Amino acid sequence: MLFTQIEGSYMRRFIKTPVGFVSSLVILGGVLSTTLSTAVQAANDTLASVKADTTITLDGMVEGAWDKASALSVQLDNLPYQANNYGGMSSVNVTVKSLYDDNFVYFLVQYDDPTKSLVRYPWVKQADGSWKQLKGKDQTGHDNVYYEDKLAFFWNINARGFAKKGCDVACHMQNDEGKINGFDQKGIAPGRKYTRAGQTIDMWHWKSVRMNPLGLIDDQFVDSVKDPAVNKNWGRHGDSKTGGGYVNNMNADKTGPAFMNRSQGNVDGYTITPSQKTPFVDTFKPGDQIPGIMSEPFTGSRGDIWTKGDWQDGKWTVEIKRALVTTGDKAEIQDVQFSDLSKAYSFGIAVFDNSQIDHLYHEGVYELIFK
Amino acid sequence: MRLESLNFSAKLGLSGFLITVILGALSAVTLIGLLYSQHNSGFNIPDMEKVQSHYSDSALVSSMKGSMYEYVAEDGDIDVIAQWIAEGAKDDAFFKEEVLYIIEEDCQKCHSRKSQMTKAITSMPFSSYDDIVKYTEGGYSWTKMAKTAHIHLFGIAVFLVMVSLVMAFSSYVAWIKIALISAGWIALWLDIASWWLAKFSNVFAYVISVAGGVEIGAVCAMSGLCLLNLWFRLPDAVLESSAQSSD
Ligand code: HEC
Repeated sequence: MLFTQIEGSYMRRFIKTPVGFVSSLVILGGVLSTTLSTAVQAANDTLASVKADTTITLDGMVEGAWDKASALSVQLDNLPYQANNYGGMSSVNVTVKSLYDDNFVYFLVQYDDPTKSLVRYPWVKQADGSWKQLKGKDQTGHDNVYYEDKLAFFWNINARGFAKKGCDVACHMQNDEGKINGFDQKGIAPGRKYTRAGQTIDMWHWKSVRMNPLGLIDDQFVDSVKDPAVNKNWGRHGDSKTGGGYVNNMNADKTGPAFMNRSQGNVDGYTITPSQKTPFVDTFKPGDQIPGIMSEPFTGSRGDIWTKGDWQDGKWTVEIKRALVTTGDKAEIQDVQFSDLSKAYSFGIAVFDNSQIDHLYHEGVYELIFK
Repeated sequence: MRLESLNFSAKLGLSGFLITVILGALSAVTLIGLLYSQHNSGFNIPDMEKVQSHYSDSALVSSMKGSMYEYVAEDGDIDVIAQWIAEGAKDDAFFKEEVLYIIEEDCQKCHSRKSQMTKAITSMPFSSYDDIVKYTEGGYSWTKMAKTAHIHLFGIAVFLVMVSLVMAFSSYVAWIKIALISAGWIALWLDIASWWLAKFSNVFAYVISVAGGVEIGAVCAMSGLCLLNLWFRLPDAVLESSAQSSD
């Protein structure tokens, strides 16, 4: 007691001297900034996957099981190009949670999106009885008007630099002459994705219209192809498949739809799924819409990620499930393998707000760890 | 006139100014910490190597070690560029095969005339040899010196003269005032002169750091002391005798 009093008065006297004052200021500043910086750095770049207690139902709803996992928050506020008819978000905050069990890893992705965009290239009956497919292409020939909401993950497999700068390693934009790798891309593509030789990235492409109704993610990957003669989409490929996919719903002379849904008026029916598919019979009135696309579930490696996304009150909630280790054809080069739960796995996230390719992305990289 | 004899409103106004100066100095320190360290958030101790690089390496290499580091795929790429510059930055096969490849992969997306990336910098394209070679000169060129030095000199002089004057009217013993006021100005000149000199010797990188520290220290100390003088009774030991008698 006495001791602290003496010490206290000594301290007070010390602080009153100029040297004491200045050093107190310095110490105070130091402590303050260190606390601040640790606080900032604690808001970190790691998503921890925790062991699930119960089974997870993929339904686009947040069940209690997710309470166990803590969320990673990712701000997406970059766009690769300025599409001249882009009306989507310029920034979005995405939260991600992850759980795992003996065989599977699960993700819960949520983000606010004021518009639920599903009207992808619909056929619309005109006043004169003809049919017209609605499109809204930008200066690069990509749609930002009649498209769909999408979400994508990039998972590093063995791409140089991915662990440091994320998706950016695959991103190649037109140079001053409008070329990418020497090929003129003016009016065709603002950018292309490809890696360096022998390197691949796993790409999980969630598509709200084309595959979400079937409960699948389009499992794709990026490799080093940088020549459109080899692959029209350059380094971007679908994983190996044994069947399924989507085709345009168009009749032989391209003047209208070929098929339609058995039950009309299904609000989310912007694609035609196998159980609904029936030949198109025109009993419609002007203004009626028919889906522009038909989807069948992928079988094989391309269809080995399950999902269900739902949009409620301005928010997308997407649940995802995949085997920790996949065994499909060429799985080792097309899929990230969560085979060692003590390792960290690098990933990046992008959101496509009713846009074919203009996506909101983040710089840098995030890591998934298993707890 | 003495600081403590000012009326309440004058004290209030002056305190606002002094607190602002201290905050400004602290934010400058934070910025420096961010620029010259590996981290991209919070306060960090600057890394001497980066300070040296900033003032002696070419803009290309120093940016790759500093503000553009996050876009470099691997550290080895910086060495490739540095090697090319060390060997004369020629428009040779090495440039076309190695250097341009790294720049295309890591930099051109933003550094091109027509880039529309959110963080594009179309005013600083790296599209061709001619574009790129402009950023290979080591250290601060006369142009860069002129561009940056005058902003710093004028800017710092304006608030330094005010802080010095406030200090001059404080009640502290003369030696404290003289020491702090001189330290502020001498450190400023040394700091900025060393920007230029750093390309000739690494010693000046240390001068930059030390002088910068003294500069910020002196400004904060003067502002802090004057604040104390405005609002508190100070121990006699640090006060000038005239101030003591009027006490
Ligand atoms: C994501 C876009 C982006 C990428 C990629 C990028 N830069 Fe920059 N760079 C900028 C912007 C914006 C500025 C101006 C503002 C600043 O200094 O931060 C800049 C400034 C610079 C400067 C001048 C300022 C300084 O720090 O010296 C140099 C030199 C530079 N960049 C070099 C590079 C190099 C080399 C690369 C490739 C390794 C690169 N940049 C990659 C956007 C980018």
